[in-house]
Amino acid sequence: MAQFDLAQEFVTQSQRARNLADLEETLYAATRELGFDFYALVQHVDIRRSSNNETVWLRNYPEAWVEVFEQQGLFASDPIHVASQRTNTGFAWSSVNKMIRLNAHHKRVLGAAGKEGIGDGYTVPAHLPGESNGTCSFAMKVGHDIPSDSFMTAQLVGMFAMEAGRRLARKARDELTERPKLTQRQLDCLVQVARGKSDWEIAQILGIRESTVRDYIEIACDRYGVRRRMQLVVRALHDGHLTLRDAIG
Amino acid sequence: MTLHIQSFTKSDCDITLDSMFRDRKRVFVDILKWDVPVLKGWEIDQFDDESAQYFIIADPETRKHWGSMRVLRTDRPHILGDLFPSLCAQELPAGPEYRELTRLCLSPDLRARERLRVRNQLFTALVEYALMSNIKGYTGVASMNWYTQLLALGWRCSPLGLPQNINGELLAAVLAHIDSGTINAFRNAGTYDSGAITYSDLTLPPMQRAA
Repeated sequence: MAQFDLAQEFVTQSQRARNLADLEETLYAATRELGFDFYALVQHVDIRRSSNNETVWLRNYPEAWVEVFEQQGLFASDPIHVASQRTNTGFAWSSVNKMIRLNAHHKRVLGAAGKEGIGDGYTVPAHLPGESNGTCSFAMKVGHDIPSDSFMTAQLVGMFAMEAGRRLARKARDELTERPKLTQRQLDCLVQVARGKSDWEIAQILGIRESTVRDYIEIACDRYGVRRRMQLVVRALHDGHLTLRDAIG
Repeated sequence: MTLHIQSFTKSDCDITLDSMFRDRKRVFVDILKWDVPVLKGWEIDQFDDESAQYFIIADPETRKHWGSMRVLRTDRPHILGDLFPSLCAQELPAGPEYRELTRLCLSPDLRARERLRVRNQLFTALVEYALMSNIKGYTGVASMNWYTQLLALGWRCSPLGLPQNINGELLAAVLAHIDSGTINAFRNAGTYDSGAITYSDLTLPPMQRAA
């Protein structure tokens, strides 16, 4: 496939991804089509959500390398990471010595990677200043030549992959904090509770047994993780299950 | 904050436009060091003519420029079609349903947080305007920095070609699609910020245009 067609194909597939697993599959396929061996999509910090260091981590680097990297805390002296902070344009790892001055720590990291079988690579930074920093890297097994013809395609793939990663990570986060589900009947009872009705009155209004009303309300309380009706009403108002119009009319 | 959409017609000085052209000079010439013409303190080129539209967000009190985008028609000379056609690997989207986004300028006087807000309002207005005017997409020539920001707004984008090194900078052509899902895409990305839009007549002091 021609280089640009590969880029377009990646963009189309990544926009179809419903979760990070889908995206990873698409990224791996593109990595291989472009002639690379490894990929690593990383979002370093999401400054907007400072209480939460959520990161996108999709990678297929050899596990042994990942262990060495994490156990020895090599992140801080990774020259690729340092160089990637300064630009939003992709660069080959073989040029990193032209971008930053390599000290002994930096060289140690590069040497350690080589020992675990990782040779040359190409990193595409995709930073959003003031929001979050991210990179998409493609790398080669030691001894494999890096496909420099694929660099421009890698630039596009990297940027679109980073954005898809951000979008899907947000989606995953939102799904975690989704509101509790309520059935229509539970909601009907809740509306009447918000209007100050007693269980007996609610039973009359809805045409059901009083014990049933109590059951519905108890289940709703369980779903919200609360004990008191007041708490239930407040939370249901907050998350939109109930509106003020429902409660006040 | 209100956004004004204007175009050039006459000769009196308008403080909003004047401050826009001066901020363009500060951003594109002084900071980004672009090699573009400057005339009496304004950054202005051959595409700043009667058919260019300017989406401008201005300080409601002083009416000075806070942020702006120049929007060009694609059924006449524009940047991608005329200056960088090689950036498109296939047929370039052009015609009455496409516009080109150029010269996004955020005033250097704004703090970072304000700049982000103005940027979101500007793009939200561009989306809403497009939906009201049957515009299907916005094209543009982007640096990699700009490309990343464009994608982060949340809308569906398509690459129009591979990036190329042009005068030492990597540039690429991109298309941002506008459809019924775009507003929601902005909302999900946290970039939707809708406000009032006013359309006003533009006025401009007489200038000698660079050839």
